[in-house]
Amino acid sequence: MKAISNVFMYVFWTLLAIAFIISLYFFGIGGFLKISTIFEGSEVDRHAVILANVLISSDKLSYSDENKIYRGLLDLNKLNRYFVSEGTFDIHPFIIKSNPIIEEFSYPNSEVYISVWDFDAQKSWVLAGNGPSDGKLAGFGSCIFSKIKLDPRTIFRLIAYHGTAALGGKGITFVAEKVKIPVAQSVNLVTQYTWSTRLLAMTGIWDQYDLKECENAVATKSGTTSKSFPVAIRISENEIHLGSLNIQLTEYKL
Amino acid sequence: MKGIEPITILVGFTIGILMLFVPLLATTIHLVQNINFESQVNNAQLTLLALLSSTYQGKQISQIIAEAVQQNQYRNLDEILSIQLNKITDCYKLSTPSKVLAQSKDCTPTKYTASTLISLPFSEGKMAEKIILVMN
Repeated sequence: MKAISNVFMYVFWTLLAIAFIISLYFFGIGGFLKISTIFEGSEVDRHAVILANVLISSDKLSYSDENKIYRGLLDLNKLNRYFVSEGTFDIHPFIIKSNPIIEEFSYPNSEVYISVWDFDAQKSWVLAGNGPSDGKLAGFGSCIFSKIKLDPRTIFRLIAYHGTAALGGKGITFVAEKVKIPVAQSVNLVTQYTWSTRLLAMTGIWDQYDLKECENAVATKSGTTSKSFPVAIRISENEIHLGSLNIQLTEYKL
Repeated sequence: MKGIEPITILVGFTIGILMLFVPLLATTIHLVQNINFESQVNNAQLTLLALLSSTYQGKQISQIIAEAVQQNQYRNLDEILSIQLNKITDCYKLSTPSKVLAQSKDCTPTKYTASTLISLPFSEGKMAEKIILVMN
């Protein structure tokens, strides 16, 4: 009888010890992580919503006359001025570079990828860049370019995957055509990588682990979100198309 | 320990810990739901704004609706509005306080509402009509 009682006591103290460890985890680091993860994830969502609303209410993108700015009515001329349109994709989206829109409206330590779709004309415009930081994000570029692999195997893989367009001086055009893919995906998907990483990964010149290594070396990602907002696009006085503004925002902890 | 079973203490202890986390869980869910709701309401407003601003065969949608309302002639209006709305949303209902102007098939929206007034410049009665968009 005493032996049975001892077994029960052992089981009791073991379970109590497990409960104590679990409670320590929840009260300590576990509880903290849970709150931080959900709250900061929501924070990125909020930032994306706010940023998109600021953009569609801004004189830089929306149509305006002398008296007022028309919220949600994007001006074709301004889109052509600040964005890269589908027909003229070139090497620019490839590089994280400054842009007047991003310089004026962006969150610190963030990367932003904005695309505008015209559903009536089946046209799109893209813009990408990073918000103000202490230069560490720009280090991503130098890190990734230091890891270019141009060995015969990679070149063969490039040709095998993407056809002969990668050779013969059409490499830039080839990259530009591929840019359409993330634009389409960004409408509804929260992708695993940032816009720059995805663009770079498509070339096949870098391996995924190189990209990840450079991302981790530069900063810790605190969240990525992708949101879509209905807008109208003013083509001319008598022609206004329906479209959407899609924003993908990634924020970093440096 | 006499009189109280160890298992009772253990169950009590576990329930006590779980109870501590219920408010925490409820708060975080509440936060996320609020943000999603506000984001979707914002989208409903933008959808209505974009729809009324857009043009169909060179004519502004708000003008097409205004003419239909003041003349009480709703021929083809449902079709035109559906063509436009289907470009930006799947589940919608657009109406005035007294008449449904367009509604998506196979879906009854209930979640997010946006409304605005459009002018009826040549109407003999009221000078404005309320347009209501409900989306999911």
